[in-house]
Amino acid sequence: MATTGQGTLDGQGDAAIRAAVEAQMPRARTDLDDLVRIPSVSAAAFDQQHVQDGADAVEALLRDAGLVDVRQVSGTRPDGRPGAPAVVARRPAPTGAPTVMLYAHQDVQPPGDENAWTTGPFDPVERDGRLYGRGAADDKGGVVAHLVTLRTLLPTWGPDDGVGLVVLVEGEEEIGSPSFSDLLARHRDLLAADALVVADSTNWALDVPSLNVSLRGLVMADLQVATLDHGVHSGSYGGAAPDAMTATVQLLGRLWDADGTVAVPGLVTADDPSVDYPAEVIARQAGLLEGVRLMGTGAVAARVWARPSVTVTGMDVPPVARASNTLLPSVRTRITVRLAPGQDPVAAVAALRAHLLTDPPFGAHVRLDGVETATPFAARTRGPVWTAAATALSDAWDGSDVVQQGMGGSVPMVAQLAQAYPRAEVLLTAVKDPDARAHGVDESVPLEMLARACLAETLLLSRLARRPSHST
Amino acid sequence: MPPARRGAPGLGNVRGMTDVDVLRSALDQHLPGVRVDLEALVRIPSVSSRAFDQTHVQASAEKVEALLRSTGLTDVQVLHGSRPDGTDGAPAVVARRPAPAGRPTVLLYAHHDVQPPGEESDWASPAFEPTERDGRLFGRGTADDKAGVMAHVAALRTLLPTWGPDDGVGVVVFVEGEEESGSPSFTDFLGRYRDLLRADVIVVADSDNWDVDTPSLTTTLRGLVEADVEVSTLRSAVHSGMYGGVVPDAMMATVTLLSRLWDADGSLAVPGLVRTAAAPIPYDEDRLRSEAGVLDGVGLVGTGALLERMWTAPALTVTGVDAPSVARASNTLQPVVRAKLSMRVAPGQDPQEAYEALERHLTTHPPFAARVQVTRMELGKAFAGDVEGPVYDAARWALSQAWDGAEVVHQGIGGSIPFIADFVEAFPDATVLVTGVEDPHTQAHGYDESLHLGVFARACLAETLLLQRLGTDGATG
Repeated sequence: MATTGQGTLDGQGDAAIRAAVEAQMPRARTDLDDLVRIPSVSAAAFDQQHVQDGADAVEALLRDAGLVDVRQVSGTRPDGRPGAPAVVARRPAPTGAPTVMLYAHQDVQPPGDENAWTTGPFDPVERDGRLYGRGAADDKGGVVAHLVTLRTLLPTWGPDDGVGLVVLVEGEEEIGSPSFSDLLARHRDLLAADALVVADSTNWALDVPSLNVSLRGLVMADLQVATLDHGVHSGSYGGAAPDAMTATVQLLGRLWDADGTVAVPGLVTADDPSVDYPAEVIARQAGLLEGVRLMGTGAVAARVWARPSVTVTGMDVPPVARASNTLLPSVRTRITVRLAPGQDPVAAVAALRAHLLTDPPFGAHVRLDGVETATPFAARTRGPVWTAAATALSDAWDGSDVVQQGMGGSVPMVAQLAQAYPRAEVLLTAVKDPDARAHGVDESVPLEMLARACLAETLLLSRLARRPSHST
Repeated sequence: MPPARRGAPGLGNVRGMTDVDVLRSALDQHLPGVRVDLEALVRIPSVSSRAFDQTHVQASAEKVEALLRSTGLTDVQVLHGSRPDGTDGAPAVVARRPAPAGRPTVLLYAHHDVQPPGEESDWASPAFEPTERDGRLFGRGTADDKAGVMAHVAALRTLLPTWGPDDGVGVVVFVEGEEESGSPSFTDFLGRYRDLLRADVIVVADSDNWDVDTPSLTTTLRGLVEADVEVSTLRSAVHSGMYGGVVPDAMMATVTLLSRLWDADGSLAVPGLVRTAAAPIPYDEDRLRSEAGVLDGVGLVGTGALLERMWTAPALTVTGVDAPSVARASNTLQPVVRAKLSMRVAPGQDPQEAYEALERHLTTHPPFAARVQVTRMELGKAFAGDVEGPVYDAARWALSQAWDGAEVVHQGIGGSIPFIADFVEAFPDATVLVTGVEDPHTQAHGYDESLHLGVFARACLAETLLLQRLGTDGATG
């Protein structure tokens, strides 16, 4: 059945899609602003009502885009508590058409030091073609890419046209998707798809799109080092009694060789990627201060994508302003280990545990707990959807090559999805560039890149679609 | 030697009691009131660290002023010096009683400010709610050093009503309000009020006793160097996944840098620091383990005699770090990390020289060529006292009397009381006595700080006896 407003793309190919996507972008921007204003930080120390508000907003936006079967579901975390709400929308596949999952997450990282932001983290502001705000890139931009695709295509598709869709917008990706495996087990049929588009990676550069071929895995754990049963005066006992801070510093110092290479025996490395990632490029992207040297050895791409790394991300000690002259009896630190593709996380935890618990400095009491893991991922880089995606990306980026790059970060649910749907092709796409400062202060998304990502996704789905029935 | 005066309660016999007994029983009358006043003082959370509300320090100064007036002193004032940055120092309370002709003036020092409480949840009872358990009074400042304040008050309440204008000694009470912050305005204060503070004997009631049964005079103190070190590698925080393994974060650079401060055995590895020998007093590892609460199986740090490690060798502690807490940790590479270092310096080494050695060590070849900025904070001089002479003899006698004949230990202290060196410089002829109300289980600066009430009573008595003796037999020669 052909109706007004449905056939606008018919027979006009890419040009019509380009125009239709472009027409969607002002609305997309408004939606992105609104989503960024919701401080949906999923870390437990923050108010989880905001995560619920984020889910409610996404649910409303998906309905507005034309999907009817929209719901919120949640799984159970390993500790028995309910997971954050995930929004799931479905469109049944027309006969013979594939079902495509569009994944994004609406929860965000904590803002960090809010005073360090140029403008408020939850107050979206555009400067120089970029939209600043926590989540603007990671991953509310991904949510918006899916919305634009849906708004562009759904009105043009009759019931027998297009592709089957599963939209999955998670609410706990930034805390490692603790209830995702349970959610997958409960809703395996609801979420089943032939191709998975996960819009949560990073493009190579503003003018070069990427398909991500690998993700590092993750071990997060809390290290507790104790030497004394109470704090004592640093003057009275300093030099003889061991304080936990000295022991912690010594113990953490064992995690790296002098050149910064991870010194934990038993962690695996993957083959060196073929992409050349120049040292000066990564130094600029990361904002390395002038004169500061990079760490590790070998190819840069291998160091960030194919080898483990260790970062201390948190420490429970008095801040400098409140420091007292006390030997600290115990110190807790949060350690994040990135795992190379091919690393079994369970083996990685065992290796880390053995390294930190064997012969600790001064015989300090050391505990490693709160362990969370994410399995690394390596994509199959062939298949019809993969090929279509590479073409769509190149088309959206004016004919640019598509870089098959690795990603140093971890998206724990990707490996879980890939395991649950082993035959599905997994496409890791991106709305952000290397300057996005995801997780950092002044996170931003380049708006032109967001528009290109929206176009690429729309092109991909329109090409996977069963041809509209009325156009034949 | 001036004759003992008639009418003054000297050290002769009164109705079959020794003068010591008379003073002991007079003091005993005052102790319940002293205890009540001590508790009231502890309830004022007078933390002088600038991150805390300084109106409490003002309130405690006013409380101390009232307490000193309650002893009979009339010339009592609250005074300020200037810090090096030009701001007003914390309020100090100074009270004076002129010296009778031929008598020495004794300065009684204590401080009314306290350390931060740390994690309130670590305390068995609230930090600022004094609570008695097993003969100890728990609360921040119960010992360090509000008990020192109250020891002076107790001695003066006992003695002043019995002294005519020509009796006793001249008294200067000086109760500082910023000792726990390194006395930043002390030098200026001493310059401004030198004549007001001038004394022949200086009693600093802010130290330790060997144990509850053995009194101490503290004869050496370590100096103090406080420095903030800021390590930066990045312009801003970035995703730990995207760059981890190739881009050095400030936390890793800080950990690596700080780990160079010690050898594997925990000895300080900073070249250029002085280490001297300590008095050969027996002190075994079990005692240290018990006092400091070293966990089972955990070894000690450093090498050499234990008392040398604690009293006359340098030591360094990282006491604070500006970094996200574990609960608020996100998977980011930190661009900049700040740490506070607190270094103890052996008697005999100039703290500025020690600071320079530390700064050199931290800034030479930093890991990954990270930017390292070291900022000098407080410096405090070490102290090594002379233990000879009539004032020391009088102090040893008074302490021994108060402790039922126990022998006095001349001990070192690993901690620092930086202004003592300033006193020594300002009044080079004065004798400095460092006495204490604490004992090894006090946990000064830690949680569950406490005062042993028996030690406190003895310290009050010792000070009473000392003042009386210095005022009656020309003990200062």
